[in-house]
Amino acid sequence: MYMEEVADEYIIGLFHGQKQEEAFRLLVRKYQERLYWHVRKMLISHEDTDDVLQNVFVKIWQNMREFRSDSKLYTWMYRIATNEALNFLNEKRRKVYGNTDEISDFLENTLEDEPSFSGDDIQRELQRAILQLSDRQRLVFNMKYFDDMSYEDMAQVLEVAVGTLKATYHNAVKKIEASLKIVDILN
Amino acid sequence: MENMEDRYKKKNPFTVPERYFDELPDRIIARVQMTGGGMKRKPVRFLRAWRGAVAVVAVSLGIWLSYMMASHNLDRIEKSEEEYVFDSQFNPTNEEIIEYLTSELDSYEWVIAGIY
Repeated sequence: MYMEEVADEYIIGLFHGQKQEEAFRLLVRKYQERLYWHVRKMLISHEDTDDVLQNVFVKIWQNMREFRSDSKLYTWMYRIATNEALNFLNEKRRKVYGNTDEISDFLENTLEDEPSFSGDDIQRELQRAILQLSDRQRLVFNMKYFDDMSYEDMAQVLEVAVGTLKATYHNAVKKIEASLKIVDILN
Repeated sequence: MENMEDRYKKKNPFTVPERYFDELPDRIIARVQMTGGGMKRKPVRFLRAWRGAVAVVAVSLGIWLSYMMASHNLDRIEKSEEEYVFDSQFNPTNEEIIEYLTSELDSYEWVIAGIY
């Protein structure tokens, strides 16, 4: 069965029908790539992403029983992944920068050193511009621009009002465009 | 935004190691088990290398257990079961043994058929 065709209801049913491991494997195979790329865009490094993603799925496993079917399974998992990625960045801030906001330098260095970055110069300049945003702006920008997520789904993931998300995305785009204009001028 | 779309085309500039997603589920399962996440390790797992002999022993044990329970010697069964430890860290309850034997009786037919 192609993973995309496996319905969430089927997986949840398997889980509550005492076939937890089978259900969990299906869940991992179905969503691992989407969650991976969501975290990767925040952390840049493949190694950091790999570590965080495994923690994400451990948390999903541990909390699967509490999952309420009134929200979408994907937005619930997305929220866990988002929180884990943000926690990782906050921990990095705390350890490296002593609780200041300066994480963009760290992420830029990670981008420069990342062996699995295969983009050209244009892609690199976009990623650098994105890294100048705050965590929240980056999150919203990535989810809207790269993942084409609806504001309603984002609101469920981030537990922020749709209007706030629209404003955040608008500001993020403006900042990125301004940053890229400077790059264009300098080049 | 239109300029951005044209220029950057929403391309993903990052890659992953070969076979990363093929191998990730097994690594995640291993981590869940390592963290004691409550994913049960089925008693049958370590017995996979001994299918034939274990199936015979399992059937015999099942018959013996049924006889002993019917004779109302539950205390003796509990003490005797301590001797039937296939693994020094494997210490199942009565219910787990009975559940395992019930499933293994079906599996035994596959073993006889040579289908593993």
